[in-house]
Amino acid sequence: MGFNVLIVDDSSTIRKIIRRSIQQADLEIDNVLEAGDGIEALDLLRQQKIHVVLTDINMPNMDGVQLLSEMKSQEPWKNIAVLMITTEARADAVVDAAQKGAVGYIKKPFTPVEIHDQLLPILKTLPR
Amino acid sequence: MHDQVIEAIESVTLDVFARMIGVDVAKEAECTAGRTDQPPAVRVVCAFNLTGAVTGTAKVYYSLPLAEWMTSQMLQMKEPLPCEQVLDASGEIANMIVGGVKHTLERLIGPMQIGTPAVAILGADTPYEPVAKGSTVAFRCRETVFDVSISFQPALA
Repeated sequence: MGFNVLIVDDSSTIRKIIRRSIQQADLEIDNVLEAGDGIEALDLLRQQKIHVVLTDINMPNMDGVQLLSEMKSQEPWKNIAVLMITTEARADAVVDAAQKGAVGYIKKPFTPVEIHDQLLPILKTLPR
Repeated sequence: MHDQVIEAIESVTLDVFARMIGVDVAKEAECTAGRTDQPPAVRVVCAFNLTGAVTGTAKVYYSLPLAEWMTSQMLQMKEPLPCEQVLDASGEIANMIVGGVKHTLERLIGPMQIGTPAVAILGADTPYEPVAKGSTVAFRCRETVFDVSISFQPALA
């Protein structure tokens, strides 16, 4: 049985690119879900079992850091691996997300290989 | 400072196009204001406000055919594509370019923030309005040229 991944980004283009990268990467992923902001992401988290979340930082309604904080404060979600996707390569933004529990980040622009290389070690640590 | 801005625009734009679209683009020209030799054409414009240590404006102009082609390449979908998708993809590429340039220049200028881009399609009868007294780099991609422009107020020394 594979894993479920949630992509959170207000850009449908980025969501589609990441989805395609995941699907072409031959990873153990059964389902790829999408949300346009943190609020939509939380709705999906309440409905489905999610194993990994890839989230943009700058989004309307609820940004990625707020989503991360919310997930880490709630029992059903606090152990879900969260990867930040961001154009903000500033060390302080990355450190802030790491301190709040993000397991890593992917900087835009990215290649499909970079998506694969970030996800594979995370999936290997997940319980089956 | 103009040289550093030009260098940042060039290196970031080449990187973004190579990684996200898988295409090499080439620097065509650079100037301190927008190019004035622009023929009338339908264009996609992505405009940003910069704030923080300095204030400024950034604009990225693509021809509409280039924006449509970029979108089809990124999504691996055939044209024609929905207008909203083309605008979203164009804005995302521009956001990566301006974000990357901002990150590079922050080491020289100080922390800056980028506003949400305004992305629109401009008709051929709409005047081409580059940034005033800034740094503009024109790039060639396929058979067309697109511009990345940044200006700061006041101008950087």
